[in-house]
Amino acid sequence: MKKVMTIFVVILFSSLVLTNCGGGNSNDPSATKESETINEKPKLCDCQNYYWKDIEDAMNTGVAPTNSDFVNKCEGLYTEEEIIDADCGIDRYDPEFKAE
Amino acid sequence: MEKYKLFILTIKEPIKYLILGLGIYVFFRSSQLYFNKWLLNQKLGFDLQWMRTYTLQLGKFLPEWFLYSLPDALWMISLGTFIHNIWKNEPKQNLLFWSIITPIIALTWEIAQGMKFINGTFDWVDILFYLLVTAIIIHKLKTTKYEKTT
Repeated sequence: MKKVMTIFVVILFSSLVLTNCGGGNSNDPSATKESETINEKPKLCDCQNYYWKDIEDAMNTGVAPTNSDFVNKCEGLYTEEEIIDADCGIDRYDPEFKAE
Repeated sequence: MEKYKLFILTIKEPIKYLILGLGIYVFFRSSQLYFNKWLLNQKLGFDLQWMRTYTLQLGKFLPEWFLYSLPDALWMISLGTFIHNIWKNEPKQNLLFWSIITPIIALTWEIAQGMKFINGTFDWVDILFYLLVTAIIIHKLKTTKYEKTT
């Protein structure tokens, strides 16, 4: 019984590593330590534009996007308040927008 | 009832370590990680993403070992404690045999990453943390009072 339980626990913990559930480095090649570091800091207004896109997508799909420009480029750089309060002259997503 | 109590005692400590490691992943690591991706797509995803805009800012001030190696160490200590709790009332050699599994799995995993057999990032700091946890497991083994002997 204890052997079965131990093997079960070992398999369970190994699956936790595979799913990045509290242990192990990511098995997603796009999320290794190097790529998790944001090298180029996008401007606040670009992030606000990406943020509006995420809001639009979330309203359309009902779920928060997890692989968007905002998530990939801006996550962790600015607070939500900074992004919303920034005076960028746009109040919705504009695909042509580029921060000066 | 006694069996239930014993089960809770067995899982309580390992679960604590696991939740700590999971917390670091959820609040300070990329949303591209499989678990975070899944979690952010759940009902609490919106609130969590809002919280993460603050915790990720805080994460910029935290050392790399805390963000990248500590969760691995907590995972390992959780597994080690789990196995220790299952086998602690058994003869010493049984406990020793099963306790060795934890460092073997962790080190094999890291080495396999280094040799590109599996995806992920090899890191010497991870190895250092695994060795530290191995020392903790050995210390635990030494201080365990064995109820049964062969």
